[in-house]
Amino acid sequence: MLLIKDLTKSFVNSQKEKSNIINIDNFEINAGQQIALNGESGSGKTTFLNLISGIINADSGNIIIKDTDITKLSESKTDRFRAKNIGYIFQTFNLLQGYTALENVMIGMMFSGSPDKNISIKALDTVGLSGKINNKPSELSVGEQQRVSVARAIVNSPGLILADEPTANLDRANSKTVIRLIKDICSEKNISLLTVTHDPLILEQFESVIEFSEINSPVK
Amino acid sequence: MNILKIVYRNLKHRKLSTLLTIFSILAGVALVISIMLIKQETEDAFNQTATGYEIIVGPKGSPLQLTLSTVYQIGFPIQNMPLSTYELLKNDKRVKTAIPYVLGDNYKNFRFIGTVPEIFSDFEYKKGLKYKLQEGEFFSNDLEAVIGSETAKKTGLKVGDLFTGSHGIEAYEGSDSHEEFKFKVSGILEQTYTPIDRVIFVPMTAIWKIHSHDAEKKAAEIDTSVHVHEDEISDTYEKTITAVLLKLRNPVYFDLLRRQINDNKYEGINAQAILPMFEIKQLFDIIGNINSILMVISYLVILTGAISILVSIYNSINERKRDIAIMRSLGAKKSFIFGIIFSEGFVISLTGALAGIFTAHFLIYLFRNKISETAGIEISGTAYNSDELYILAGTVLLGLIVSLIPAIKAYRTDVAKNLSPVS
Repeated sequence: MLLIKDLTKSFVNSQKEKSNIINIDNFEINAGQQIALNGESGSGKTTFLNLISGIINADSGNIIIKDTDITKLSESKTDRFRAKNIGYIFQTFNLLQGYTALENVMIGMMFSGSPDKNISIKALDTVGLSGKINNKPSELSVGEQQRVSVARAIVNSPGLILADEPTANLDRANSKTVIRLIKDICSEKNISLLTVTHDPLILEQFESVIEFSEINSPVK
Repeated sequence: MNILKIVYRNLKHRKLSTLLTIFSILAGVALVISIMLIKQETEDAFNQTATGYEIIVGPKGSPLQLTLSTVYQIGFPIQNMPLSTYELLKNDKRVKTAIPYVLGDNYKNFRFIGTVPEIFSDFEYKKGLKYKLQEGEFFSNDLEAVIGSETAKKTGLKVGDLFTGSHGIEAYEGSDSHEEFKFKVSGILEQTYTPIDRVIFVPMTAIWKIHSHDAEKKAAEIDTSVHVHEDEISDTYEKTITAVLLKLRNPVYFDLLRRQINDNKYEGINAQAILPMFEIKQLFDIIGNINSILMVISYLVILTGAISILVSIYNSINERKRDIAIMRSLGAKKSFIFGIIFSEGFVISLTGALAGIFTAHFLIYLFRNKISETAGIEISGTAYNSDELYILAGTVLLGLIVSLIPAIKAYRTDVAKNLSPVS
């Protein structure tokens, strides 16, 4: 499902020095596999997810998702590919505040083709928000907001879901519920799941936990 | 959910800013269109009115003053000239119609025009149009009056009513009223959409009689031996007229007759002959310059409106960077984000321009009577100018051009940076 080879990414810091953040020789996730990446803050986990989703470009290497090397795609094709094949769940939910829960989910569908209201409602129903489809994010609890972002991530039936500290803003009870929900949906729909976190409560729910430092060896 | 809905939601989300920006475009467009329409309608109305007046002969002085006071009933007449001027021109073989005008009195600000019955039978106030009565008859004796449709409406005078004129072409406090001479309304004219709708036609002999009587009365106050005639014009009273309207038998006489009079080569006439159409054209050439300045100011207002679109959308981009980044992370192409911002500029400028055009037409329609009174002509308030489409297109184009800057800024939004929790 996801194969990464010789991936590197560097940034130029404020002192105009080049700093290597990502240096991964090999990383792979199979279809339907669920992996948690454990790592300290600032270790480059989010950058790694942004590279996989094509939000930022790699300096070198290959990122192959469903037999497509996204590093070879043009920017617009990468955007289209991301919309169809990758669901992204953020730490801060990243919902559009001026839109209802349903509209947030429908916007998630919009860029992969034509938004379908019924499918969006079904996605919200799956995460247990069928009664709050017309509520705006400000009218929802933080747990509910993260559920909306889960519904948005699954609505296109992507092959891969990337979750970046999905429970960092939730209390313990909500954290467990949300991560359980994400895992269950991924299992049910055979979606590969890559979660980055440093929360032990989340890590213990994954069978496959990889230390990010084991796969990423940035050049000092 | 589609791009239009997103644009609508974005504009709605910034309601006040959007409305103020639309209003600034509206103000500029409304100003431009108003100035353009008022000029067009006024010019058309002035030209239309002037078509019936081929040549006006009047006392020497400002040709424009003569035109305005005779044709449009605006301002004061220059002076008076001897009746012989009219008589000589009337008997000139080149002249088809000669109509004398004697101005000087008013009733509640509606001017008296002393004239001859031929104004109703021979004079065409516009090509092929003669004065018609909506009620009553044309005057047949000295103390009868034919009033314009607007005069009737505003004063409430009806056929058979009696009224008294006052001295002067405009009413003023302490003006002498000619109480001894009561005019009877013999007829009311049909509406002509010219300044004639606001006048009172009376026989010119009546004007002379009143003024002769007044002069004798004043003289009698000093010298009791002076006999005051009640029903006839004093032998010593000099009969004068204000202007003569001329229609020639053949246009070839135009220049010749005009030059003859203006060069003092017409024996017995010391006056000027003017072509009202020419004077009006000159007037509008002068007004045109002022109009151009007003138009420049109005275009600047539109430009200010366009800049406000730029400022409004540009500032909003900073607040919306996160939303843009979210959409991009969901797969929105850069061109889609560009399209949203560009469309917002389009919607604001189009709405502002359309509202401006509507407002201009509405205001002109609302104030058409006031404009008509001020300009001395009738304007419909329903005129349309094909340039309005160009102004609409130009404003939208300007809106799109200024939207390019925030659209490019949105296009370049750094997705990763704006998605991060700290941003």
